[in-house]
Amino acid sequence: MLKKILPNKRGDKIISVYWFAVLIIVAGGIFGMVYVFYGTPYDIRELEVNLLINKIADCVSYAGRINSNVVSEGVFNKDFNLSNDCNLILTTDEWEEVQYYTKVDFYNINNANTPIFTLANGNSNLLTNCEIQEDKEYSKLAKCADGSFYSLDSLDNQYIIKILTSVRKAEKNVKV
Amino acid sequence: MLRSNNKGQVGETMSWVVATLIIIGILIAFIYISVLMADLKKISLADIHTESEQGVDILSEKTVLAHTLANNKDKQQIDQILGEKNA
Repeated sequence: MLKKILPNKRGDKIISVYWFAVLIIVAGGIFGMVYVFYGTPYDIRELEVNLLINKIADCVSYAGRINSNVVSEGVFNKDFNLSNDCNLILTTDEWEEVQYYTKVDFYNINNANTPIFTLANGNSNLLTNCEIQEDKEYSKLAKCADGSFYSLDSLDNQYIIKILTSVRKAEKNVKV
Repeated sequence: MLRSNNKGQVGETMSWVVATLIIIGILIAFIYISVLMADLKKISLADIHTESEQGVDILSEKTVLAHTLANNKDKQQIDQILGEKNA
């Protein structure tokens, strides 16, 4: 006698729903991966602060001599403006507040703790961010970097020049 | 007439449940990896290399030039100060 096996249609339906559920889960997972990776902006602030240091260093000192507009005959020019005289355009319409801070300290080599002259430009509020920026929790704050080098003026007076730069622009570089 | 085997159905269902758990586990692992990779989306100066600039630190170059102009006067003292400031 031929036995007929009835297909379990209910079970097939459940498997089909299950299959679609798995597809949705996989699709959701792939969406999540793409969203997380491509939703995170590239953080170029570290690059920016270092480029800013190099740019200011080139402006303040060239070929081992300090720019004669900064110090002339051993006298520092208090009217020297980092943004105008170094051709740095640090303000854009995109931001209400200035997103940069730059500071150049000149030290006598015999007293490297107290600067004899300082040039500063930008939003000085960013300076406070520099001390706590190492903590990952504060990655949304400004990025800071500094660098020092040695240079001479036209009278062969020796100076240590320390440049500090800070860039905020967190909204464009960190996922908020 | 025979009904299909209930034990077989339970086995198949269990396979699906285990497979789903494995799929979810793999997805979570991949999402976690993409979170870690997203954290690495930082470009530093070391990542930008051109043939002319490779391996050249502009500030060090300036210091060397100044030392040359000053005939290495007070070089040791200056390098020590710079070492402390750049530390």
